[in-house]
Amino acid sequence: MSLLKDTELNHMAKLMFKWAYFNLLLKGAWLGPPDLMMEGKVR
Amino acid sequence: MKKLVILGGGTGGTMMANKLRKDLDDDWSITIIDKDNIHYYQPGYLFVPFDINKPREIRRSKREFINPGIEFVISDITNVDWDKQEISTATEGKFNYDILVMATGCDIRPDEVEGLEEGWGHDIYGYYRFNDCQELGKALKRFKGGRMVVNIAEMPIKCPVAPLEFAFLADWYFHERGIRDDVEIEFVTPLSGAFTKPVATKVLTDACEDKNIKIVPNFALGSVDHKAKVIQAFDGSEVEYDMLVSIPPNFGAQVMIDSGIADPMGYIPVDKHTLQPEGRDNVWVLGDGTDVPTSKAGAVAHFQGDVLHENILAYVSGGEQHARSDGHAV
Repeated sequence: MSLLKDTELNHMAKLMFKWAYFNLLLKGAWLGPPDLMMEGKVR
Repeated sequence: MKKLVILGGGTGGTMMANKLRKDLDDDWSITIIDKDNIHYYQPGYLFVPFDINKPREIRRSKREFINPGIEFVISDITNVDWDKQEISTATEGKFNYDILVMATGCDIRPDEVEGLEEGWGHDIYGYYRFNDCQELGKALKRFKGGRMVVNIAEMPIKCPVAPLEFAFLADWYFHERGIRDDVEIEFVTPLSGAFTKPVATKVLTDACEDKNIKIVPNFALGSVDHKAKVIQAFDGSEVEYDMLVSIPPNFGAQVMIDSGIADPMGYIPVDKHTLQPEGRDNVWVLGDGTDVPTSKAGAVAHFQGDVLHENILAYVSGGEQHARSDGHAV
């Protein structure tokens, strides 16, 4: 799946992010695996 | 009692306070200082003009998201003194700190472009502030056709892809209204293409072509003539508009300039990996207010927050600080 594609799923995910922002991100909750930082960066 | 002070109660500051409160002992106080108690969900600014988000959905109380055990002080910050380890406020006195986290963000500055502020609201609109995105929504409803120009004045800006998203949403919106054939959409940018990175630029350029959105690259905005409805570049080129959706220059907090700790655009110079100013081992900066060459976005602040969390806890315990920011957003 490409994050850049003009899809309904990408649009809905962006709209749903609001819930994650208020309920997880602002509260300092863990949002991803510890190696996410280098995901897609190291070849 | 040892004191950790956080400047700014937006995305970065609130997140850091809540993360650190969980892990710091009770002999540490945590205080957030911010100018007001309103938390805006900034990604929603993009959707309000199209009625996808309602204004009430993106405005909440800051205090609502600050966990127990964290003091929240509402006042303008008037000075930051790293030597004295002291923060001055307009109405709440001075605060000393043992650790300082700075997350004061950035904001648009239409006054930095000749003619832009004078024309604001006269066929010139924006979406980077709560009131602006609502006014833009009203203007879109009134718009019957003509040339809409989406213009980035200069980089860096908050959420660099947002202007393109706006153009795409405008394409959808005018289709829905049945007037897309009466509207030209032009994306006028100082970049050499649709976006900053080649892979994304290729995909997004194709998307613009599919949607009949014209890209005008390498346009370094010099001035705006709102009476003639034209934007002018420093090289003399011009683009006419019927409605201008402007992304003005973004600046960091003025108080950082006034305190002598920021560059002329208000961004605080830090090591791009440790996010610390040179020679200040008890000060960290995250989010839009730094000078690091990354996207100015909540996602970046989130990942920077992980780095700060680990390194601040290491600093408190006297251990090695291993975490390094690589500036990514996803």
